[in-house]
Amino acid sequence: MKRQGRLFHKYALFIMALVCGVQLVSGAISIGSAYQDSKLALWRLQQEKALSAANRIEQFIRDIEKQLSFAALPQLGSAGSEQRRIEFLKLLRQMPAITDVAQIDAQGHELLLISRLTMDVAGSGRDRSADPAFKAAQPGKSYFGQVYFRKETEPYMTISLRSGPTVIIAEVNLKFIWDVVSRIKIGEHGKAFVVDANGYLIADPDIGLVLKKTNLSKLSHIQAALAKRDAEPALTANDLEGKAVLAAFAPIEATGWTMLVEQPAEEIYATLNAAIVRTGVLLLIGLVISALASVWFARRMSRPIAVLQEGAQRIGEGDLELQIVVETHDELEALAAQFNRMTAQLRDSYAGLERKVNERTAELSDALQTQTATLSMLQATQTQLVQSEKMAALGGLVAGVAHEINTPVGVGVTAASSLRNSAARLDTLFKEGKMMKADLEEFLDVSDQSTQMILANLNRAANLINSFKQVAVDQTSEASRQFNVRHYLEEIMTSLGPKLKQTQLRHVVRCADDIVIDSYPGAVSQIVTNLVMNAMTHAYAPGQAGAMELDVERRGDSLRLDFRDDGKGIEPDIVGKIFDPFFTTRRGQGGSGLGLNIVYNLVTQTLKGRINCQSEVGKGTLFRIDLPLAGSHA
Amino acid sequence: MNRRQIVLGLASVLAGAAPAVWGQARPGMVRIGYLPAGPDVADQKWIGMLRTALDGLGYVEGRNLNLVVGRPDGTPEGMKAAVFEMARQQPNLVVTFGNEPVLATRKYGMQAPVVMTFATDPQGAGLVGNLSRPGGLITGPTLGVDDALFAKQLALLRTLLPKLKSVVVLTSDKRHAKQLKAIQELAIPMGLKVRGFTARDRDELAGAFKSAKAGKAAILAWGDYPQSWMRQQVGQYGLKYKVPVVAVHRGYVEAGALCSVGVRPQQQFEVAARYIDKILGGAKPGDLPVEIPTEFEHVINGKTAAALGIALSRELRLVTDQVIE
Repeated sequence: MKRQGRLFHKYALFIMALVCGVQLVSGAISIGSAYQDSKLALWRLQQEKALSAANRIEQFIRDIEKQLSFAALPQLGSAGSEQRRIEFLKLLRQMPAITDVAQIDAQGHELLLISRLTMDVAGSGRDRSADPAFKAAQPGKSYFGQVYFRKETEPYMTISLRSGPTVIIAEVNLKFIWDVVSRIKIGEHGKAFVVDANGYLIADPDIGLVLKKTNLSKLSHIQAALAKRDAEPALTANDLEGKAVLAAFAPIEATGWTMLVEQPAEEIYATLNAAIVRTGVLLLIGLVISALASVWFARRMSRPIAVLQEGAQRIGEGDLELQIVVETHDELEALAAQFNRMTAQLRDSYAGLERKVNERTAELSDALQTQTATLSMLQATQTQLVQSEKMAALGGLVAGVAHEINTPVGVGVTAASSLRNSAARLDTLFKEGKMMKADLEEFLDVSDQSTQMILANLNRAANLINSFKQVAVDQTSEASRQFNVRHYLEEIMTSLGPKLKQTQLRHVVRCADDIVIDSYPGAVSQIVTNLVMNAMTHAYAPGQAGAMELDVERRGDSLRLDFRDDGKGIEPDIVGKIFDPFFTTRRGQGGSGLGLNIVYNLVTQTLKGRINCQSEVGKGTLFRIDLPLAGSHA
Repeated sequence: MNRRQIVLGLASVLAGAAPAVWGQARPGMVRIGYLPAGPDVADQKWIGMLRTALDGLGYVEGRNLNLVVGRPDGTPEGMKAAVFEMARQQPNLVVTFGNEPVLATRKYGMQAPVVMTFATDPQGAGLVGNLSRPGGLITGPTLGVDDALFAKQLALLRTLLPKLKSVVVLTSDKRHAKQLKAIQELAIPMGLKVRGFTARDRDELAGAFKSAKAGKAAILAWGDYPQSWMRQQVGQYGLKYKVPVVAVHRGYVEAGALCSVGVRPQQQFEVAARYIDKILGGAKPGDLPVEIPTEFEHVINGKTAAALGIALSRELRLVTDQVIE
C-alpha cells in the first residue's frame, strides 16, 4: 500500500470540501451582496447626479426668472419707459439666453420690445392679449411656457411674470442650457440631458441633437421619466444608438422638464465587475491556500496512521525488530507505543518458542541419527543376506550345473571305459592270436553301443552348457531400437510356426497397430519364445488341443503383455519356484529348468520390468509382464 | 552623391511607384483645408483664430494637423483655381469663410465635407437644404437669422447718427437684390432710405464711398462677397471719405469702420472646430444641424467715431460690447 493511501485522500477530500465549501458559499454570498450593494450604490450615485444636475438647470432657470423680475420692477414717472428700456438692455446683456423681452400692459398691448435679433420697438401697441404667456401670468408666480422650436431647430421657452399692472414676457433661447449640461461630467462617456414634458430634447452636450429637434419619448427610460416611475433609483435602458445605458432622472420642477443622466452600462459595470473580479481572485487565492492547507493537514493526520499501518504490516510479516516512531504527542503516539510494547512481547515469546523448537529439533535429530545407523546396519545386513543368498543360489546353481553335467559325463565316462575295456580285451586276444571272429563282432557291437552312448551324453552335456550360457545372456550384445510391437510379435509367432504346427494349439496375438517402443527386440523375442515353448512343453499333454493368447496394451508409460494358456495349470506349491534356475518338473525329459529363469532375468534385468504368474490347476496360467517404456533402453 | 541622396532618390522612385499613397495625409494626421473668400481673410490673424479653435480640441498643427490654406485672389477665376488646388491636396475636410467659397466647392464638385464659417443665410442662399438637417456635404455655423442682423445694424446706425437719412448697401450680385429689398423694408420704420451700390472691385468700392459721401449716407457692409475680402478697403475708405460704416463683424471695425453688429469671429471658428471634430469622428455633415449664433457683439471704433464727431451716449455704452480706441 502506498504511503498516502485512501485515508489521506479521504481526509484531504473531506477537509477540502468542508473548508473550500464554506469559503465558496461565504464568498458567493459576499460577492452577491457586494454586487447588489455596489449596484445600488452606483444607482444611487446616478440618481444623485441626476438630482444635482436637475438642480443646476433649475438654478439656471431661476436665475433668469430672478433677473427678469428685477427688470420688471415698476418704474416711476415719465422717465419710466426710457428707464424700462435701459433695464431691458441691461437684462439682455446680463442674460445672454434671453433673446427678447417685452412689456405688455394690462389690456394685452405691447408697450416695449427689446430684442437681440430684431428691431427694438417701443409703443407698438401690438395686441398680445391672446398670448398664453400673457393670460397665464400670475403675480408672484412666473409662467414657464412650453418649449418651442424656432425655425424648427432652435429650442425656446417663454417666461412671463406679472409686475403690477403690466406683464413681462421674455423669450429664452434654451441652447444656453448646453453650457450647463456640457459641463456636467457623468463618468467617462456618460452625459446629462434635459427633455421637456413631451420628450423633446432641450439640452444635450451634443447640440446637434437638440437642433435636430430630437424626440426621445420612444425610449423606455424617457417614458419612465415622463411617467415619473421612479421605483428604482436608476434603470437600464437603450439610448438612441441602441447602446445599453444606466439612466437616472430627476424632475426640474419649475418647468416640468426632466433631467436625465445616462452612462454606458459597460462603463458603469466595468468598475463593479473589476471589484467582483478582484473579490473572485481573492476567493480563488483563498481556495488554493485552503486546498494546500487541507492537503497538509490531511497528510499530518494520515501520516502517523499510515506509519502505524505500515509498522503493523511489517510486524505481521514478522519483522519484530521494528520500532514504530510516531511523534504526535497524542493518542496515536500512545498507540504506537502500545504497538512497540506488543512487538517486544511478541519478540520475547517468539524467542522462547524458538529455543523450544531448537531443543526438540536436536532431540529429533539425535533420534534420527540413531535410526539412520540402525537402518544402515539393516541395509548392510540385508546386503549381506542378499549376498549370501546369491552365494547360496550360486552354490545351488553350481550344484545344479554339476549335477546336471555329472550325469551325462558320468555315463560318457562309463561308456568310454567300457569301450576301452572291450578294446583292451580285443587287443589282448589279437596279440595272443586268439582273436576269434565272434570276439571282433562282440567288440564292434560294444564299441557301437558305447560310442552311441558317449555321443548322446556328450551332446546332452553340450546342450546343457549351451542352456546354462543362455542363463547369463550377454545383454550388451544387442542394441535397443525402435520397433512396432505388433509387427515384431507376429514375426516371432511366424518363426515359431513350424513347432506349433506339430501341436493342436491355436495362438492369438492382440495388439494395437500403432504401439512403437524403443527397447531390446532380442530380449522380447526370447521372452515370448520361451513362454510359448514353456506352455507347449508343460501346459498341454501331447496332442491336446488348446489356445494361447498374447494381449498387449499400453498402460500409461508402461506396456503390459498378458500371456495366457488354457492348459493344466501349475500346482500352487510350485508356482513360487517356477522362475528359479534349474527348477523343472521334467528333469530327464529334456527340461533344463532354465527357460522361465531366462525369461525372469530378461524381464527384470534387461528390460527393467516386472513379471508374475497366476495359475489355477485345470484352468490355465497367466504370465503378466509390465515393461516401462520410458528409460527401457537406458 | 552621398548616401542620403541615394536614399532620398530611392524613396522618391518608390513614392512614384505607389501613386495611390501620393498626396494623402500621413496616418494619424488630418489635413484640413481653409478656403477663404479672398486675400483679406486669408491673413494670419484669421487663420490664427481657426488654428486656436482647432488647438482647443486637440488638433495641433505639425503634430496631427496639416492645415492647407487656399489663396483665391478675389476673382471668380482665382476662386476656381483655389478650389482645384485645394481638391488636389485631398484634404479631409474644408473650412470656408463666407458664402462664395461654399458655392465654389459645390460648383466645381469638391468631394470633401465643407464646414462653413461667416455664411450668410445658408438656407436662403441654397447652401443647405434645411437648417436642422442640411443633407449633403455642407454644414457649419451661420452669421445670423434671416435678416434680423440688418435691423440691429440699422438700429445701431440710427442710435449713433440720429440725423442719418440714407444708407448705401454694398452689393455685387443680382442675388443681393432680395437682401437689399429686405433691408429697405426694415429701414422704413426708422425713417431711413436704403439704396444699393454695386461694388465688385476696389474702384467701384471707392465709387460707392464717394457716392455715400455725396449723399451724406452711411454704408452697410453686410459681409457677402466681394466685400468680405475687401475688409481693409472698406475700413480705410470709411476713414478717408468720413463715411460711417456699419459692418457684419468686428473685422471691419478693426480696419477702421465705425461699428459692427455680428458674431464674435473667434466664437464662429470655435463652433466650426466642433463641427470639424464631429466630422473627423465619423459624423456625416448632412446630419449636423446648422447652428444659428445666439450672441452678437456690438463693436464701435472709438477713433472713427471721434473723427466723425459722434459722441457715445450712456445707452450706447450699455449696448456696446467693445469700443476700440
